[in-house]
Parts: sequence; structure tokens; C-alpha cells
Amino acid sequence: MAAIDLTIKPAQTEIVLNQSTSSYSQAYDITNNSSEAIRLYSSVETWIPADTQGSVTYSSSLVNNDFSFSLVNSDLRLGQDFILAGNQKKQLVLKISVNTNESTDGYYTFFVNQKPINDSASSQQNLGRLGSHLLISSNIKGTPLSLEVKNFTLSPHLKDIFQKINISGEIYNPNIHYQAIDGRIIISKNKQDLFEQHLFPHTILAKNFRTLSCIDSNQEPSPCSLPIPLWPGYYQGKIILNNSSTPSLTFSFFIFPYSVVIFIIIVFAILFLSLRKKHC
Amino acid sequence: MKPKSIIFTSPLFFLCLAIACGVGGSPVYAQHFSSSSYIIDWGNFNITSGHKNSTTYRLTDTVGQNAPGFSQKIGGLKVKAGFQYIYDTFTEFSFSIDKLNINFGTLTPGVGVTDTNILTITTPSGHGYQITAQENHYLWTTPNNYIPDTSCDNQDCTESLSTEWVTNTSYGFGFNVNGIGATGYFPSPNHYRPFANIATGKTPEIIISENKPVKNRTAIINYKVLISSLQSAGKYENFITYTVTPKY
Repeated sequence: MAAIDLTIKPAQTEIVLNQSTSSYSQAYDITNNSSEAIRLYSSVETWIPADTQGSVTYSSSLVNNDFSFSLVNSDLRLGQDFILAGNQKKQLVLKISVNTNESTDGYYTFFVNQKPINDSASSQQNLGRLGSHLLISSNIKGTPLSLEVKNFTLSPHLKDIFQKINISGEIYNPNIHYQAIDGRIIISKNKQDLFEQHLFPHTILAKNFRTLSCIDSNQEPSPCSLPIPLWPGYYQGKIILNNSSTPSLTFSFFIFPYSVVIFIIIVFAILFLSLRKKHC
Repeated sequence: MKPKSIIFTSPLFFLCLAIACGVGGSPVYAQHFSSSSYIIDWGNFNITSGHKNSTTYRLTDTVGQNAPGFSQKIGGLKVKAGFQYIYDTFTEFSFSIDKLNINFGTLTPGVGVTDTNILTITTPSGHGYQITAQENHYLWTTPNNYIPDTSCDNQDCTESLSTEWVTNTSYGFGFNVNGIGATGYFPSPNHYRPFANIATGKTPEIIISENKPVKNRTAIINYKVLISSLQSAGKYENFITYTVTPKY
């Protein structure tokens, strides 16, 4: 039997508030999937990105007063303990208030934090916290700038017909608000489009980077690569972001049948050596 | 005279266009609602959808959707028409720990004692996850009588870097994680790290993470404590907290 087994819905909320909106409410369903009662309290913490893969870092020194939070539930406040009985669900409604007229973003996590079921439970050693991200943009003005492709690489350096070609890079968001990636990679040969891969619509925070990912057959993010085998020849590629008429990045590469050539050379070398031995 | 302008301004062109639209155009299906004050035209009107269960079948359905169902052009995008597919798209974000109480029992100096926890996580579509760990303070009886956090065999492991801990002369309390999402943090079962000690101002560190969605992914936490003969007797305790968040 699990000692703690919690579910939170939704796992992430992205909110855009216009100038006339001063507050917004978001409901969370918290489910205790175990048969044992647990003691919980809720909190909201600010985070910053820890890498380009979507990881985050929390610190008590991170403070963003542009937004403030409270629970709408009549019987609960943020930080106040409540008991969630076994196999029960509770809805917590978070009110987000905007404290600024500036055009800004705020990145937070709404946490449900476990506490020992009673204060004398001194032998308990493990506790869990489950979080749901809140990405908030307020007072958006003007047209957003286009996303940019950075640190683009094609590997390996020598491209063989039977070797998978990996496409890697990062997408940069130059705006002061978060934005989702909407883009595709198109590979063409002899001016004919051969492949098209859609980029995974990851969210990029303001003035931040996100690693390039493609949508796989399960509609999930995966590294971008080209299918094999590729016929020898000259290929051209482009990355188009946000349905722009001009590509954000163009590239080209050459496929050479290294493996076939090496195989033929080895076969001929063996034949040559064996014939030479016979003549000697 | 420009021949092209004759074609586009000629009544014959509009007649042909009207015939083409009337005869060759695709039929349009929509719902039309009207009252004395409102007119509502909807492309379709989904009446209901939901989960249906019996002892032998599980069914999700959508009623009212035009052309419901799953379709995909080869190598292209998938189309899931109908609210029922929302159940595929938005899965839960869940986390469990198999037991709360880790009891090492009576410790013997120079003999490492271990215990384990199993963490299980399920993430929503499109999101990976990260788990950070922290301890509220040293494993202690009182603030002045504690088992130090491990620094591993070569005194080089930290809250964010695991190194080998196999000798019986490097005393302390630490942990290792075994699981798919932990291989980047703990290369072998002998690699250990100390927990980030919040009481000393340390920040919780990531111990497990993955970039892809997972369903019922498990990771095993191996706790280890090793004391010297100088360690005084007593009941040593602390709290370990695991923080689980999706990747944004």
C-alpha cells in the first residue's frame, strides 16, 4: 500500500491576461489515490528555468511581486493544513491577482505539500510535494518578435547513406512574454521537398532558450533526425517558425556513400592480395 | 484591349462560377439555431462524451461530432476528431512513495546499513518531470549530535554530484537512485550523494528527471548510513522531502 499517492490536475496552466483583467481564478483537483488520509497544505513558489529542457529551479530568494495569490475556497487559505481522506478528491481554487500595469511575465508553481499526519509522528521520514506550473503573461502589447534558431548543428560531420543524421539546436524567444514553438523542418533535394517534420510546440520563456525537439509518431517530443537510408547527393533544409514566409534558418549537406565505397575498397583489396599471393 | 480583363468582367464568367459552386461544391454540414434576437451557426454540436466501463469493456465516445474518429496521412499529422480523444491527450500528473517510514534499526559501527523507497510517477502528455530531494536537517538526536552527510570515498561527492562510496571508513548518510531517469545523476549503484540540507542553506537538487512523458515510471531510492565507533547512542531522525514537478 502506498504511503502517499497524489494526483494534481491540471499539471500546467498558461494564462494571458489583458490590461482590463485584474484577477484570474484557476481550479485544481487534488486526489488522494491511497486509502490512507494525508495532511496537506498549498503554496505558490516562483521559479526560474534551470536548463533548456524545461527543468526549473526554486529558491527562497526568488521574489516576483507582479502577481499575488490566494485561495478562493471559503474554508482554506494558502499555507493552511487540511486533511484529505483516503480515495478522496478536493478542489482548490487559486485566485491570481495582477499587481502591475507593466507588460510582464510571471512563472510560478502551485504546490500541494504533505505534512506528517500529526505533529507527534516523529518517526516519519519521507514527505512529498506535487506541483503544477503557472505561466502568466499580462498586459501584452504589440506584435511579438519572431523566434530565432541558435546553436544549430547537423551530426555526424561525414554523412553516409546508412547513418542517421541528427538535427540539433535551440530556439530563442526574444520577447518579454513566453511563447510556444510553432514550426517545421523541411528537407529538399533537387528543389523537391522530401521530408517535413513538425517541431514539438514546447513553451519558451521570455528571453530564453529551448532545445529543438520534433513530434514523434506518438505526438510526443523527441530529438529531430532524418530517416535512413538517404540517397547520395546534395540536400537543402530549412526551419520555418511561426508560419513565417521566410525561413528562420537554411542549411545544406552532402550525402556520400562512404560505407559502400569502403566496402568495395576492402573487397577489391582482399581480391588483389589473394591474386597477388597466387601469382607469387 | 486586354483579353484577361474581358474574361473576369464577363457575365459568362460569373455564370460559370455560380454553376461550379452550385454543382461542384462540397456539401456543408452545420447546426443552425435562431430566435427573435439570436442566430447561432455552429460547425458541429457535440452532445455528450465520456468514459463508459463494464467488467469486460472500456469505451470512450463522442456524440454529435461531424466525421468523428482517428485519421492520419502517412508521415503526416494525426487528426483525432471528437472530445473523446481529450482523454488520451491530458493524462494525470501523479506521484507516489511506497512507504514513509525508513527505519535503519540498530546501527553497527563500520557496517553500512541500507533501506529503500520506491517512487512512482505519471506525467501528462507533452511533459517530462523532475524530482528534487532535500533533508530538513542532519540525521540527528539533537542539533549538536548528528551523523554527518556523506562525502563519499574521496570526499568529493556533493548534493549535485555523485561519486563512489564503497569503503567502510567513509562515514555518513547518503543516497543513490536506481531508475531510467536517474542514470545521468547516478552512473552506478555505488555512486552516492548527500541530501541537500535545508538547515544549512542548501538548495534542493534534481535527483531524477526525464524529458518525455512517462506512465507509472518507478525509481528506487537506496538510503545508506555508516557510522564510526565514536558515534554516540541515540535515536537519530530527519525528514526527507521529494518535490515533483512537470517540465514546463
